[in-house]
Amino acid sequence: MPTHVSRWMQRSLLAAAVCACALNAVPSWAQDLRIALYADATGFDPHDTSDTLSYSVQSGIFERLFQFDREMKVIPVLATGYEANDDATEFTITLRQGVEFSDATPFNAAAAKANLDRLADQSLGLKRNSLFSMVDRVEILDDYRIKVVLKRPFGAMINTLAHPSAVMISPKALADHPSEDELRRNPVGTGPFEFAGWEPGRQIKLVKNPQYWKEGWPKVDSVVFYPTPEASTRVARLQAGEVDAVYPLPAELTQVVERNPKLGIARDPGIMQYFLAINNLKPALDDVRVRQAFNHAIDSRVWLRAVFGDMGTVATAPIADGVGFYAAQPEYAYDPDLARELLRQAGHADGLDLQLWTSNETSDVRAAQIFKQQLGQVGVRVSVVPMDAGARNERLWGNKDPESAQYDLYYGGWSPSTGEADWALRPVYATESWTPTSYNVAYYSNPEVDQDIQAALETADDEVRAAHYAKAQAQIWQDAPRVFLGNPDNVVGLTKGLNEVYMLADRSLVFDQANFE
Amino acid sequence: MLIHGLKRLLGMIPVLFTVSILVFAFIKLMPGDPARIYAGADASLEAVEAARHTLGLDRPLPMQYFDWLASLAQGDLGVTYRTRQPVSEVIGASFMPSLWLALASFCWSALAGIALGVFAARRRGRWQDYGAMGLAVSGISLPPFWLGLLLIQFVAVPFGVFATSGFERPLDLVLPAITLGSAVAAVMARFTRSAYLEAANEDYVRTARAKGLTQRMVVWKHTMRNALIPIVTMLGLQFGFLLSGSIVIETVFSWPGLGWLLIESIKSQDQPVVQSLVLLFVTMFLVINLAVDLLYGVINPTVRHT
Repeated sequence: MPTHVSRWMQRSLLAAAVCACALNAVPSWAQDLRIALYADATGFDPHDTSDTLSYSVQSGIFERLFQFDREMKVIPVLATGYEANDDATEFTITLRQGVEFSDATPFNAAAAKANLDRLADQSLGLKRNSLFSMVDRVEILDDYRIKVVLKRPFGAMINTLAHPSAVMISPKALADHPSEDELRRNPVGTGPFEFAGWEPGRQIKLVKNPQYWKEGWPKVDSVVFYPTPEASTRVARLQAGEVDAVYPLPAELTQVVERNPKLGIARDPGIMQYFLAINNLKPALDDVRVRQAFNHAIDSRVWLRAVFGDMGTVATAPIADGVGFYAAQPEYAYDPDLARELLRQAGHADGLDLQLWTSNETSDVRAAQIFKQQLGQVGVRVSVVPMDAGARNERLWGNKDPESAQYDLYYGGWSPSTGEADWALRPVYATESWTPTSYNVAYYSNPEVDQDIQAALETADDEVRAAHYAKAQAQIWQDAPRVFLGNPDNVVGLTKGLNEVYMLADRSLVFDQANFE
Repeated sequence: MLIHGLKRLLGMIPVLFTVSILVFAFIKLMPGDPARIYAGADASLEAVEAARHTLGLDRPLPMQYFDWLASLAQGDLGVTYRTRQPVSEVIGASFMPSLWLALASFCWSALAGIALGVFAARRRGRWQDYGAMGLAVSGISLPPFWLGLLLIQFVAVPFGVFATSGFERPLDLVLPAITLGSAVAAVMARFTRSAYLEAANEDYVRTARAKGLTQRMVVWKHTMRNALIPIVTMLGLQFGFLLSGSIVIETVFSWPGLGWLLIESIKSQDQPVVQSLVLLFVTMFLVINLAVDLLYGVINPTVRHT
């Protein structure tokens, strides 16, 4: 009997050993990554995309010349380096060798030129053409070097090339699908995953690209995205084990996930800065003392705690601290007495009556109530006007005549998708960007700021640019065209054991290095 | 009967034509700018104007309307702003999930509602009546999204039998169908009860009883058949309501149906889709109404048309 047992045990051990060997030979068995998304994608041509969710899904299929890392630093991906001339009109870019698109087309200078030409061709009517309107032409220097020649100096060019729309699409796919409607359903890139199908409203599937140029990546065999618009349903899916990650996790549900021992969160700083824009053209509000008083009257910490569960940082400059060329400014301390004093000096001892416009989202209305209460304490009587997106588009962003703009205060946010100071400052603080041309809804105008923003673009010298941007930020901070609130963190919900799935500061989802422990 | 049906079908054309004008006008009157949404949250004015041109929104309104009507007559619903797919394809893909959900919800809620109504009516004034009607009132007053969230949290998550959301397999129908059907079941129960009671007071029911018919004959053949006309009308209306998809329930359960499509399209001001969907809903109601009218003839021969 004992001998039988031992023989049986020997066999079992042998079998176990064989199994173990087999497992070792294939380092991991088929592993799927399942992600619940807050909406559905709109298509798979990044050149003709304007929403962050679609960019996120596309980032598994496509790669760009440059990209942002987790700290929002620009790193080369399909490029290996670049040189710029002094006045930032010519950028010579060296390309990575040995990279192929997933349809086996080689990636080279001709492929890069085809894509950049497409982005720059304003006649195509693609959503992101306007971002590349400064490109004059792209020259091929040799098989792996191109020169991008601009019509005017543009120091932020490399950051623009890191924008999620500036991807490299297979030239073969571009030739095979000349119609945009077809191309956006047949994406072919150099990324870690290949497109495997899209059932609108149900799922988007990507599978591993076996020829991916980064040795050993990706670690998962497929990624499936499930559009799940209702936030609590997204979290229920995570709790039930139907998905491995939810993008994004709203602040009010973070605790539910953190309390669950099987789940966790990935929390990263964001570069979206929230603000209370002040209509600088309105009488009373055109007085800098009044605007500074508002900055002292509102306690951003209370706002951050109530609306974002205290996850984030309060504003310390007119742009978020994760944005390139950020320069910290002295704090606007919460001080209702000082605020009342400033209002008295400006001749408003008996207060002001103002309209605060906001979206009709629950969390935005909640924020507006906080501002109403805090401004009320210094004698500013605020009425909150919630609006749907259509009404806001028409009455706020579409308003043609600045002088007749009706709003006094507007609660909103701005996220510079190129991750650096130009896109964080110019569209919202430059005089040329007054709505409806761009997004300076405060109708703020300071010629010195305009000059610095422009001068910073006209050089490729980072030290000179940093000096201009620091000066502009200090001046804007002083002028207080808005109440500077803060920069909430970006949060993703995850099952325990899943790593490297997180939100980049621009709110896009990163999953190309996802792996399970 | 056939000719009557055909006449009614032809009569739908002017209605649809009028509706098409109304729908077009209302959508154009809606505040907002589809070009701005299309171009994205941080697009420059230049990009917004380019988008306006791409979408053909820079042309005069009457031209936009007649172009839409002309292609509509050829069965071409245009291309969506949001995904650049043909509208017919998008609506087609969303129609089946909504139809399945509507059928599932309709079947259980119609049966349960009518059964509960007859049950309550036959025990009128007794505790069973109050109990059943209490249930029905709570069914009507329960906000569906709340019921849905409760089912997800306390049925789907702990037991793992039903998926929390999405539509992958037939089993996924159960929870959304319960949620969507509960209000219909409640409405039907209350409606059936009153229709039944009204019919039960008629002289012919007393006659039927007097001539010694079995209880079953009295209830189902004499009372119920006469109570059916208002009930069938109500069922038709409810089915139309179910079929147009529920924005709330499809959102809570991530259901890829017409309600989901409608809310996504309204949010992105995807005018071609919203126009076509509203027109589709109107057509569905017209067809259901016609079917209900024709059903009257089957139920009650005196309504039959020659």
